[in-house]
Amino acid sequence: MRRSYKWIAFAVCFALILLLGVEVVPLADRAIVVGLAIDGDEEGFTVAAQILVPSDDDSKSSGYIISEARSETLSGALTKISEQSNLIVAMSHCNLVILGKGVIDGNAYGALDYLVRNAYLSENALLLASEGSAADILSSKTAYSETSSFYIQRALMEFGYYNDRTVRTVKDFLVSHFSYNSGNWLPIVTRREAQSEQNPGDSGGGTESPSGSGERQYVFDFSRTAVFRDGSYVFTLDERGTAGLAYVNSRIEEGSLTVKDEVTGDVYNYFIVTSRANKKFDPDAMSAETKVKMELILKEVLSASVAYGPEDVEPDDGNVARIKESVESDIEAAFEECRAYGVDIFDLYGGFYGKGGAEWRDNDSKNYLARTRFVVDVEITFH
Amino acid sequence: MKNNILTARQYGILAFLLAFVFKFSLLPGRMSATAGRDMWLAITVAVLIEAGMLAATVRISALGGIEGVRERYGNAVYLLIAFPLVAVFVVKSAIYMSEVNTFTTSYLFYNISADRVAVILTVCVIFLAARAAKGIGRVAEIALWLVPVVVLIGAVFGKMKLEPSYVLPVAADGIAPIAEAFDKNLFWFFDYTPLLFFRLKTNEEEGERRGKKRTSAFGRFAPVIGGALGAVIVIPALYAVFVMTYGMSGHLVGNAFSSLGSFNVVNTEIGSIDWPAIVLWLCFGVIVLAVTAFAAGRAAESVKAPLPIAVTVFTAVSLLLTEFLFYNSERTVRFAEGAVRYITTAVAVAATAITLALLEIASAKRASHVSAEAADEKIL
Repeated sequence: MRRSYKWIAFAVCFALILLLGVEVVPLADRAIVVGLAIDGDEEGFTVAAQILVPSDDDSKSSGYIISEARSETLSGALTKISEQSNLIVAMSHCNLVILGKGVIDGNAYGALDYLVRNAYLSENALLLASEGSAADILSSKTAYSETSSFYIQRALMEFGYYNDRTVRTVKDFLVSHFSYNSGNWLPIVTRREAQSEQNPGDSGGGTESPSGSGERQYVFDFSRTAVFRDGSYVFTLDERGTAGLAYVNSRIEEGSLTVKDEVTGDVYNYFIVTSRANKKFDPDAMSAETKVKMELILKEVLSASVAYGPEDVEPDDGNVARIKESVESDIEAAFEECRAYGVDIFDLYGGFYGKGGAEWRDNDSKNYLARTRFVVDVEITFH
Repeated sequence: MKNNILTARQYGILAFLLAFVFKFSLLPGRMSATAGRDMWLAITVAVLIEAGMLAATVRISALGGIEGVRERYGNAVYLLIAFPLVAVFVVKSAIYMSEVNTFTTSYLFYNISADRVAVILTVCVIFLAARAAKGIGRVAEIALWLVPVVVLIGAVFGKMKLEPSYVLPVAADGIAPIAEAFDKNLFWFFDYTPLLFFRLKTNEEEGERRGKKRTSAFGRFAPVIGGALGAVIVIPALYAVFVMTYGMSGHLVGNAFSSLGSFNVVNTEIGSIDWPAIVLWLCFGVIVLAVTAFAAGRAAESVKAPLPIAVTVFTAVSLLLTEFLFYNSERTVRFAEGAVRYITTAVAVAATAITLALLEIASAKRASHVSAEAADEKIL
């Protein structure tokens, strides 16, 4: 082959680029969305986008604005945000989506259609539910960070392995939606005004920002969980139920567990090193067993009667039994509450069907959730 | 012109890439839509059948490639086999180019229209195809080094969230959904045919050149066997991983490779770790398109068309089809799942079978001729 061909190829490439032109959208012309709040009702969606505003001044950190628009569709609302801001909405840095009460009460899965089709939004973006307005959560000024979406992301990524919360991404939600029972869940984010330094006991008052702007500051809580079936919200699991759900459906790497000896009044706190659950199914007996293996460290003892030394790392059998009982009751609470609402939160159908195959599906699956004997077994070891 | 000779290693790598690359774009979503959790079984059946095809293809390449037919039976017979193959290459290139363009515009750049991406990628394809076997083989060898990079990044920074129970029960609804998935997606199978246009320089020849003796069949074809085994093992395994990751929501996945390559990491943590996977897939996509373009160009050389001109025309035609017919993934899928899938498969299988038969007959004749000559010499 002649070497001249190489140069001809480059020349053709260069000419084509010149002829066709290259679309370049400078960074300054983009609305970099870092968080999205979706509220809705029967008539459409109200979308609030948290958009980064770069600072020209090196000494100042970048700020953000919340831009809000309403439309019949999600993409329509985002287009309006583009029009309002005269910027092209860029979703590739959006790693947080909050669904408002109006959206989860309707068809939460349907509201995600645009986000699923939009390849720019990562399928690993965190997905949360809100009990009220999602825009209120997103526009809240946090006590620890200026940008609520980054604060929430950190809480769910760095502390997402705790036993008091569950972490869900857009992908997780879709995978559960397409499970046999369509049982699904999302962490609920609620905000609480941060305590004032001047009035620490005043739980009703918020803290003004240090700059004295009068803006209230908030911290967020994720200890409750919205449960869904067929893409729509059904009910809310409380703190215990959320912990129970996390023990079975999450890989817990950290967390805290407190038990109390009712006789002596002693209180023991344990650090959870790891917790893993393993499910076993017997479709003939309609029995599902969840075995939770947990590794703990004794962290704190509040006792008036027993003196514990630093070398005491394994509590007595009574305490171990109390830990087991606590974890088992959390899991059972989550399961029974979901069962009462007809939600198969631990995907028992998938387990029975996986073991029993088509025969179980065709002959024994009717009313399976009510007929299932759910057994929890907790195995504790100490680090 | 001897511009179609590949070493066994290069041949093995290209065999792997031809089987692998376009099974990890749109196809997993399509397979999931039909076979559900059993999609990994459907792809296992497909790659095993393909492995049989590869065995025949390797034999043909070892006998001198499809051009052995021209040498032994004349240009007319050769063109009768080669031209239907070139037509298949045009259609496959157009569809695969469309997948590459959609992928590039969806995952890499904002608001850039597919035609601009397509033109630039096309120049890369033409350039690589014009460098012939030596260039393509070498680029494939180098690009392969990105695979451990992706694996390493995934192992270090990624989070494995696999649910093995998603693959169960196996074939609960019998083989019907598996067969349907195989049938419906035939277009994406039997992609080894461009290798018919390459000659395989076995390790034995290479060893002889270097003064070494290596005669076992395994030794001669070890890298090719490695490539084939890699395809047979890696593709179903990654499909199983796909099922364990996406359960029954796999039909929503646009490009499986970049989705799996994100390793469940939220971008804010360390940035987008799917980038290496995206770049890797794109490199592989360009290499496969270049292999196909070269094969078509090589066929055109038999009618005295210069290779650079031939691959340029071939790729330009594919590009025009992509731009005007398959400008979005829906149109691409609708076409690929239509009757054309039977035509492309029939041509691929028939061309391979006929070429093998013709070359084996010629080879047997030559062997008997040589032994007859030897016997004559003995008598004399």
